[in-house]
Amino acid sequence: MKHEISRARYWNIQECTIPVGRVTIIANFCKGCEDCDECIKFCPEKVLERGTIPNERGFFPPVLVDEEGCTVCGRCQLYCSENAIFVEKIGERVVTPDEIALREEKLQ
Amino acid sequence: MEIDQHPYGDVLRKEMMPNIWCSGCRIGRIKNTFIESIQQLGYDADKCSVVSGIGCSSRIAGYLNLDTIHATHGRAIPTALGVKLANPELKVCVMGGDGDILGIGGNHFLALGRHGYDMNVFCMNNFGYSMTGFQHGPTTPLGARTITTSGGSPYAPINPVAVALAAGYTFVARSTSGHPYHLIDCMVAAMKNRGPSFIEILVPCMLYERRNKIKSLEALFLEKARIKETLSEEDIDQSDFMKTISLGIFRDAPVREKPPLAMVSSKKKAAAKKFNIKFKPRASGIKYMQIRMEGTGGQGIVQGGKTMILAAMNMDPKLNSTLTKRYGPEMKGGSCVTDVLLSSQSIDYPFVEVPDLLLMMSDIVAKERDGRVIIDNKGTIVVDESMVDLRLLENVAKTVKIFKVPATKIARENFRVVVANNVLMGFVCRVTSIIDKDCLRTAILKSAPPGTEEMNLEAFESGYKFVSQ
Repeated sequence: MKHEISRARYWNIQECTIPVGRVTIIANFCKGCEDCDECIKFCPEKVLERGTIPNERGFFPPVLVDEEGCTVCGRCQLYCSENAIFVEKIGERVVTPDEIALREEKLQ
Repeated sequence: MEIDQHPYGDVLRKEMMPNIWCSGCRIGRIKNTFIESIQQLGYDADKCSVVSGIGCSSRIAGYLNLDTIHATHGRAIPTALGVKLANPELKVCVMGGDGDILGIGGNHFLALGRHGYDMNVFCMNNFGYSMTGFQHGPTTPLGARTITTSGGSPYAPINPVAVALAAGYTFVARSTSGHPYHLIDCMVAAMKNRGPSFIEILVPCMLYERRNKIKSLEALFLEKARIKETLSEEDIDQSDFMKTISLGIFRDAPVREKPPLAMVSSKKKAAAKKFNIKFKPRASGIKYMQIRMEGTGGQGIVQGGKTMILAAMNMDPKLNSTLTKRYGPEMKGGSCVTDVLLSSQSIDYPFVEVPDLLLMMSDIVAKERDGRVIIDNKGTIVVDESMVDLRLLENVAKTVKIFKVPATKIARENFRVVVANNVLMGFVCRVTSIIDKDCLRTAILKSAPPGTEEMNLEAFESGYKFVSQ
């Protein structure tokens, strides 16, 4: 914990802003299953998870777990073969040192 | 609809969505990387064209809202070349699979490297013909099981990168579907290159995975592949792709400057001397005349027939005429016959049955008929005595008129052998007087190649003046 705060000071992270995105999932396009799941695998913020409600084709599209977690890296949009998911930037927010510390703790 | 707000929505053909590929297929991602790269370069959708052949990956052209063509199997590159030649401003990209570009269209793939047009070939290599159930293809790895090689493929695969490097592509790279950001960089660099570009993209196929009991090829690519800044010759080889895969740009060279063409820069020939020959059209009085020229190929038999028919048409515009030429596949040295029909009425049958005038420049045709010479009883034969065995004419010598001229000998001694037909034509003109001399001379001038008019006319004159002993 001590270590984390010192690192935040060093990088002057108080004034750092990150983009906030909105994730849209087109459920009926999705063909996610054991073979794919790329959007879930490659999301750096882990905002997606495999859903439980099947779509028209019988596949289980992912659902958004963390509504505000998306940072618009655009990986899910690029990796999705079916164009069933896309992200839009809706704003920006300031990152606090406490948040970073909490996150590091969570990942550990 | 939600798809309308998609960032790729401008380039996607929304009415075709959702797409048809198998669950877990990564070809759609290549489509996404292509869209990303054209958006990064800022290309106008009207200036970008995609051509594809037949196959799984060739469906990409159907989902892109650009000017796209879905061509026949293996002919994506020739179709794209046509697009490029028609409008050189277009950015032409060829999307295809390994079976389409390297298997069936393999020769076109080689030819594009040689021609050097600014086109981008993106080859999605999924190790076989996957659309029809995964048959064995040119890139199937050694020992891999497919429908047609159930005991394992007995042949070594070809290496697309090595072939492209040898064929002269100015941009060659390899990437996989698991590295889309690397692939975008490669595509951007390929589109910036001014020569033919080739990118081999390794794509996992679900059918290949199932048949060969591989859990996930995508995971294998991510684990084994290494993106390298500088690539050595060893990295080209990927026959053992289960162990190492080297990704990167193998060649990014500027386009070679073409040297000036040798044929064009040669000196211009001096302007040919102009001949001015005038003739008067007159009624020929011919009712129905059958003329046949016989000889070997290369003697100018067809050319002689053309000269004769042109002269006859010049002399009497009311005359009807046909020209039929017959020769075997062995043009030089084989038998060759030209039939000319001149008639005052319309001609129903274009072949000569029994010739009134027979011009023999060689006896090869008569020998093919067991030595028979077909001629009308009141007909005329003009013989090139330097080429024809005169014993053949003994049977018909009593009834028909025979004129002998050593046309080939005269042509060989005074001019060149190729003008022997004109020597004969000059002789025929004097002894038969069917066609006027000036008409024939005009026809010869018209049909002779530029620069040889004088020689042809002199040959004609020498034949005209020849007096048989």
